[in-house]
Amino acid sequence: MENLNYFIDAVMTYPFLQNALIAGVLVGIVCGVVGCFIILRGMALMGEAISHAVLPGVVIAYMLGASFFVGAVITGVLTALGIGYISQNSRIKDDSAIGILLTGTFAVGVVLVTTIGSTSINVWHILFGNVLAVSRTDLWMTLGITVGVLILIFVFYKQLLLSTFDPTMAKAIGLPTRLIHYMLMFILSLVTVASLNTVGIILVVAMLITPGATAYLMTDRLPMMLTLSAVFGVISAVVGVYYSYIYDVATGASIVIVATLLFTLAFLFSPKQGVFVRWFRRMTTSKA
Amino acid sequence: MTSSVKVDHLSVSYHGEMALDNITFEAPTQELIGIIGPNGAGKSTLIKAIMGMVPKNQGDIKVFDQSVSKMRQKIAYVPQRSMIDFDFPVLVEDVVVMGRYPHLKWWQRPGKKDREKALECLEQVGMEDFRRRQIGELSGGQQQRVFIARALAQESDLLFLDEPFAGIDLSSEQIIINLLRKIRNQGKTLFVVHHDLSKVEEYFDSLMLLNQRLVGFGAQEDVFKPQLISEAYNGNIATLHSEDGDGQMVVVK
Repeated sequence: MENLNYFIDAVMTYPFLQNALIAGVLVGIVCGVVGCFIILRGMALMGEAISHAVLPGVVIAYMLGASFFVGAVITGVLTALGIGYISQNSRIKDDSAIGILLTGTFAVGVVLVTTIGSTSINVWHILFGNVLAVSRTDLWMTLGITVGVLILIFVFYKQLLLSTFDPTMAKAIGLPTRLIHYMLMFILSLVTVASLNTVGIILVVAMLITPGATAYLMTDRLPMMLTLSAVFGVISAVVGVYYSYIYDVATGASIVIVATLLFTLAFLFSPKQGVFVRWFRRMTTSKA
Repeated sequence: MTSSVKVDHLSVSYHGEMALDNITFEAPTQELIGIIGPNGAGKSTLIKAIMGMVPKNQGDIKVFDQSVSKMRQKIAYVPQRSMIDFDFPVLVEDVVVMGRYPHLKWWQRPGKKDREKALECLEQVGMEDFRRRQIGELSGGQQQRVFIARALAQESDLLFLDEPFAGIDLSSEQIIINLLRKIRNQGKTLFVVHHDLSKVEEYFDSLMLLNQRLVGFGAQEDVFKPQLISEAYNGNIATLHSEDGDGQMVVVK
């Protein structure tokens, strides 16, 4: 309780902490919502690849003095196209193609960072986030991406649902399924940039997958799954920022740990899917 | 309007290998049409080609004398059950409402009328009591009926069903074939990909024997002949005769 009061006081006093919280909440929402589609399409590894591929884009943008945003989207989408191209035009399967390009693009990013010298750009912050240094500009960018992505998903909800659930029918009725796939890749790149400060490139996949997976264990309807996932994302962000401030530990990692704990709880105790709950039900029914 | 589907010299190849070789046929309307052939015969490829989902090397396809792209609304597809992720967070009624999507503009959401139509179709297949269930909680036969309800909700004139009897118990199979007959009697045309020879004579009005090329197409009794079936299955069949010598049964070896 004392810690909580201390934290609330600090939030009231320090704008950097306010920014951190707002950024965390936005990232929690947008990653939570996008993540549901990533999970249901079985693209968790693809999310990992796109988020890593963003590194060279960000560094090149930095070197040219361009916006992070543009650089990240270009390398993110190029990588998605590359993965598709390799798996369609050779005997290499999707997961291997992802493995090759994930590490390859990331390595290019690391090399670029080392050539420009570590004083000008902080690799640690790009990789693991630096939520306490979120500027006003960063905040506006994160807000813009969040609102834009949520609008896209809201408008094309019907198309996303059908192409995810039954791609063959989606194609049969003339939906551009390939375009929808690349739109999601584009969204993934955007979301990674939005999460750069909060959790960083390495851990953004956790924000995409973990809250969505937690929600998936709790409900049988997609709209509910999207909502719960966003809620879990927000809880992870707020509680994560709280602990990171109180105990002075890395913020991104702290957020991800909270998300993982929420998942563990759902995995054990979800009313329908929980391992412990199902075990308990078996015990009671076999006795009866 | 005399033909439901008209295919003219259609060839399709997959990864450089010939999947369908120079197929030509004209299918009647208001019939239950079986597509039979061994594994890898191109049965699924043929229906995907007709629906314009796989690129063709050559050939021309007309659905109700129109190009497919103009007729998408009129064509419903019932997927092979193995293609669906039954853990997906949708309820039975959500799935059936998807059948209304082709009737909606790209920005429109399904409304009250669409929901009513979906419920009506669920009643037609006898699944209305399950409408609030998650799709994976149903048995295979019930899932298949839900997907048929979705095709009905689309109000299409032409239905493609990919292996609707695969992995389904006999009593469900009976329910489903009765349903398909009912749909045919409403004036629709159904193409059914099927791999089991035992019920062919009982189930279908017309029959297509396929093994990359078209081995036979026509009225069931004209096509379901040991010689043609043997040709389609590359000789891997046996003919069993009944004791009185009249009946015969064809089985795949």
